[in-house]
Amino acid sequence: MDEREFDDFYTASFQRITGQVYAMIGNRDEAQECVQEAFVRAWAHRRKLEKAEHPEAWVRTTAYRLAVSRWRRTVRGRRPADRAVGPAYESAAPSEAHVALVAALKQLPEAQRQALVLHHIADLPVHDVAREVGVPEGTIKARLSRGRAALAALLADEEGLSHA
Amino acid sequence: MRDPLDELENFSTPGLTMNPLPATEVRRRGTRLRRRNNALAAIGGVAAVAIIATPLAMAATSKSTDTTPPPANPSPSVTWVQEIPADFPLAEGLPAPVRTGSSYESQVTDVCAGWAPPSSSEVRQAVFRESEGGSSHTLALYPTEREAELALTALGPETQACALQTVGKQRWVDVLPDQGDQGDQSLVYVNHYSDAGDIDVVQLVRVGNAILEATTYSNGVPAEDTAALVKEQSTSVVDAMCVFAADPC
Repeated sequence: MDEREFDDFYTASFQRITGQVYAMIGNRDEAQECVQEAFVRAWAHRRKLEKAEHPEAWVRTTAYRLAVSRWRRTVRGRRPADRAVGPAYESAAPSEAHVALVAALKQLPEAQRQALVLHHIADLPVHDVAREVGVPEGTIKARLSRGRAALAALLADEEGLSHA
Repeated sequence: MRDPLDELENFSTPGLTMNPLPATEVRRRGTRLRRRNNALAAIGGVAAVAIIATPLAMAATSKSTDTTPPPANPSPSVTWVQEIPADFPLAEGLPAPVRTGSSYESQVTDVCAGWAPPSSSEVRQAVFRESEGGSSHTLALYPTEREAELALTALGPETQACALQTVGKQRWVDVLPDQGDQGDQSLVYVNHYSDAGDIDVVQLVRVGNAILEATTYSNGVPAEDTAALVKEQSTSVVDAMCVFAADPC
């Protein structure tokens, strides 16, 4: 992967992967930082990335592993400034529905949440989700089924509370 | 009632949007990371050649049947540092706040017997604790490089034996492949000690007569990735350990 190809890949996929990791972990800032770090590692290991069948999956998996590490969370407070992403700016505030969805996702077991995000947000077919997560397709189907049911119940509860 | 699938498929990331770094900056940082890794690998490679070459040279001139490893340092004139400098950056890489001390207390749940410094040695420890675990750096000085080398050399087979004995058990040990790019000698192993996936990664690195133990707790992250993070965070300390080398910096 040469510089131009990497730059195109980065520009095209940064926001998308960040959104997916955000949905998985429920923390937008952490998702953005981890995706940024994952892209740095991607360039450092670009020969490995060239051999990867799905470079975007490689970056997403790396970012996700960084994000879920408790260790990483503990060092956030003292990370050198040059490792941070670029300056933030405000845009439209998230809707109530969006906040409710993120809150509901966070209440799901991690494995169900990961399966739902990869299948429904990253739009990966079940066999690709299974390959990325490293479990059989049947397991992913079960996680999706249970995850959808749990999510529907959580959103219904939230809707009931907001109407009450 | 809202359809969860519609909600998911229309998921977006509104609100605070961050401006990602320019691609050129990402590549610059990636290149810097790669150079650092390569430099460490080169240093480790030279040290490994020295360690391998010395026994081979001795084997060529001696019929000794002694099974203990020959000394890595052929020079008897080296004076090994016996005091850890006051400004040694042992806490470098650990999250704040760090508690430091001059005695050793194991910070990991060892499935089998692990490393501990000799009782009479100069020891310093830096520990970060949180409610569910933590990270630590412990540095111990041995009287000579030979003694430090023997201590770490002996621990390798013991840990391998522990790994074999604990296969299939609820608590087990994995010895990770030696990447040969840390100090003069290194050993990395993982204690898996709960059904919930709790692990303690232990990385031992020797430079000259000093051994650094770097540990961290993790859960939900593959052991190899956690070990990579331990290595990354201890790099500055290992670099600073050159003051204990036969040819100090």
